[in-house]
Amino acid sequence: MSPAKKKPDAAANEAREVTTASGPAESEAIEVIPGEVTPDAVPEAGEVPVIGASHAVEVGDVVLDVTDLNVDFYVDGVWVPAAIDVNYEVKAGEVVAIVGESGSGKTQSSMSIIGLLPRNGRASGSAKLRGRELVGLPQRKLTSVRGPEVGVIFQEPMTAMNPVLTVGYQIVEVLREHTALRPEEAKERAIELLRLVEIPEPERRFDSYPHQLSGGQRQRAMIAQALACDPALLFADEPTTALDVTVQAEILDLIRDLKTRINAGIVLITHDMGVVADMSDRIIVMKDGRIVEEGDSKDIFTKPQHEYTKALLSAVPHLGSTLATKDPNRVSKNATPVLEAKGLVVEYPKQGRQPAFRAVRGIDLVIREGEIVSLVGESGSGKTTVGRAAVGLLPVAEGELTVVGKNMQGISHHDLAELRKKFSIVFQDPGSSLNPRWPIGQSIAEPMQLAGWEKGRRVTRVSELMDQVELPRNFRNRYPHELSGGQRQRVGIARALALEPTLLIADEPTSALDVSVQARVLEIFTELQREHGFGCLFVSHDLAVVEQLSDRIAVMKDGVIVEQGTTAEIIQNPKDPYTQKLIAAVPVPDPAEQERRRAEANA
Amino acid sequence: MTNINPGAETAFKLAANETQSKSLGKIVWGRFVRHKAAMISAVVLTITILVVLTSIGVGPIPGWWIWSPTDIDPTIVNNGHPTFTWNGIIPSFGEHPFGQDQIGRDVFARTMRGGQVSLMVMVLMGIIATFVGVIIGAYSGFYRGRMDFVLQRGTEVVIAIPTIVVTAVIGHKFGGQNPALFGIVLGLLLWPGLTRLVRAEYLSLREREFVDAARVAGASDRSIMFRHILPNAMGVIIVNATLLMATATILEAALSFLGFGIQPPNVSLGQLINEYQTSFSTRPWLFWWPGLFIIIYALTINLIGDGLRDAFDPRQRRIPKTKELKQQAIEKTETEVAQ
Repeated sequence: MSPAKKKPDAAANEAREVTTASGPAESEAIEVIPGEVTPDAVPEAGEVPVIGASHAVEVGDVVLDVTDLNVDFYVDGVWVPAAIDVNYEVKAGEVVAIVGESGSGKTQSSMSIIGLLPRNGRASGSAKLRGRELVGLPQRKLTSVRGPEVGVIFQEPMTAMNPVLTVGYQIVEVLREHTALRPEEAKERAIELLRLVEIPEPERRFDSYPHQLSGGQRQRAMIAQALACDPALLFADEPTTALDVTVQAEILDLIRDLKTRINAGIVLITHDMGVVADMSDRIIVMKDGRIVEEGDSKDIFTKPQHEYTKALLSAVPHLGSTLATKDPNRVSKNATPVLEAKGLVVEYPKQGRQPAFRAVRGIDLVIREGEIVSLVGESGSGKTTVGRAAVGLLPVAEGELTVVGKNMQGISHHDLAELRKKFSIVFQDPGSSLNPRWPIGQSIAEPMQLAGWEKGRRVTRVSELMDQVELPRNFRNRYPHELSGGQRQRVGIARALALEPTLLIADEPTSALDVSVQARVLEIFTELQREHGFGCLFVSHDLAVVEQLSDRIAVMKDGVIVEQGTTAEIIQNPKDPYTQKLIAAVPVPDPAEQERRRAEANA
Repeated sequence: MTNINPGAETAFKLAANETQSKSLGKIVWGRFVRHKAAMISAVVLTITILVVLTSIGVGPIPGWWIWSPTDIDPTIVNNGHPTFTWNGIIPSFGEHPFGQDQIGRDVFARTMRGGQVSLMVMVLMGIIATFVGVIIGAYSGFYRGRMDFVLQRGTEVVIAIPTIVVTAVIGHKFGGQNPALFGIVLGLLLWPGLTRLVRAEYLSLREREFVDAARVAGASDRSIMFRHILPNAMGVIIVNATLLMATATILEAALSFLGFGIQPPNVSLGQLINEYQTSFSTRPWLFWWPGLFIIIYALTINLIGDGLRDAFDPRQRRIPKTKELKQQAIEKTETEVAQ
């Protein structure tokens, strides 16, 4: 049926080459009926373009049937199970969400189906794609499955696309390798695909390199690539985790839209319950490699059966749920300010030929003693820059920045060294902010050592801090790589609190963590803040988290604060259109609410 | 406050085997030990060094071998041929196991002295090149900008200096009698390669957040460079220093062979080969032995460096061979059937 099948050996060889050369994203063999791709088939914008449709599935047909799937990894001489007795099926036109924390086996069980396990992994059991057994299929046969039958959308489009090839080339390559399309036909087809995923000016974007596209556009291009061959099944592995909320909302819209257009089954692998509520028809909850609960999306959200599902759902922060308990006068208006910015401008100095970049363009911000103020915005809005300027990691270019009573502009080395005993910072990625070669006890003790504390006092204080962040004391000799993400972030917090700072900058401290772990870390953080009463600048992109913690919120966009006010004001009554957009884009972990919102948006 | 919370589930698992806190160094060592070629090399090299040092003694300390490199035995035993033979499986050394040269000097003693000199050149060169390379690379990569520019252009000047010319001049000026000087000169000429690698490592490590974290805690630049970043760059440094030392052995031998390095009456492995090259057809054993020791040094150090590189590379996980995987799978089904 496909022209590629006329020369099976050559096609298989080519396919293998693609696999090794450019990774799984490109390893897509294609079955396309060439006749369908004519210039007439190029759709008008907005019209529903039907591409390929070579697979004969109707809505409701079972596309994927997984029975007793087991995945093991060979680690240090033993087989460690990653997925145990996994059973589920996916129907055409349906979105099945696999939910679980990192390490629950949700990704590996899916990757094993399409033969993308690492070399030390193995799968047993059965996974039938439209009746065809995939488990145990040799790689050369799998290449004819990946692509025409199964498409994959990866988490990080920047790493899943080859940075030295143009987006168009990467799509055309897939088409050319496996079909008899002529180069110009393949190009037309690729542009058509780019239009399908709503990339503006697809003709121009065809010749762009991945780095020239924005994060959202890159993800769209990758979706186009996954769809190039019109698969019957689409795996989306955390497709929006690396994206900003507003972009995430757009991509989710696109995938939902495509679901009805391309008539494929979609397996959505994610840990974000908001996304799940928004997208899925059915939900599978995985824990430690096993499916603990499975069911209809609405049922899972309204009446979860399993303890773990309940815990998972309760850990998800709901936007607007904690407003009632907020006391707007928790911090007195007359408390001394620990951070005061007036017309603050921060620049990244010029490097070589790159001119200086003004990341923060004149902001006013006050944090009083004992107050948590959150800075919210999308990536590139300059929120992290403010945090880094506040701890002296970046110089103040213009305006005024007073931190714990000292002006940061042109501050001397000596003054800065003194000041550093009074503030500290918790970084976003605990894996990178702890020195991998130091035991965590030493990491926690470092600020005290630099402040000149003697050894005995340091040791007592480290034990005390470890108790406070609820880490066992005997962990002090462990190295960061031996700890889980949540534990590492607690080490980060303990270290930041070592010298009882009056100001703490928290730079997205939980964005790298799983929901349930995040909930616990936030709890500890709040407790400690109440106890120690430090002023805090909490930088985050997650409005639901911010709302839980903060007394006041400032919303940043393009280096400027567009709106600031108390938490209740911002969440319930946003005035700036950007804030409104931001709040509307946050997925709510409630399918009914999502549906209502969608209807509202479409109306 | 208690330690009981849902997030700390893994904490309990870890607490159970609490004593097993592994530093990265220990992990690297564990992986190195599994590298067979490197382990064998390490053992061979250790034994070689022990023999080389103890046999004829170092400086004033006498060794256990009866001859010294300069002693002349007036009776030429067995026409100068090596007296080393196998009696079945028992080795018999005889009076001159490696043979004698034209004037009756013991080749074993001379090879041992050559081995000592080459070892000294190698170690001195390794230490100096590593030290200079790390310091310059660290400052260059950490401060970037003008400092980097000046240091790197300086490095290029050193790269441009032809090693052979400099060592030839040194050899002539100081008579090639001073292996320490020779090692120092080689060290001062061969650091640029390491510098570039250390610089690259520092350039990437300085962007890591733990550097910012240290800075916020109030650590000085020097403390960040050498207490924080250096341990993280240790892998690259150790591996390349070892490989550099292997190169140094061969370079020293080559220079001495050309007559630019160590010169008689002092002895090095390369110089021995040079000295005896005229008797290639009549007394070939005169270069077997120095040649053998050059190969032992270069090969074992190279293999150790290779083993270290594999051990330090976290991406290089030991992947089971297909055969092992199959074997495991069979065993698993068997146990399942048995159950």
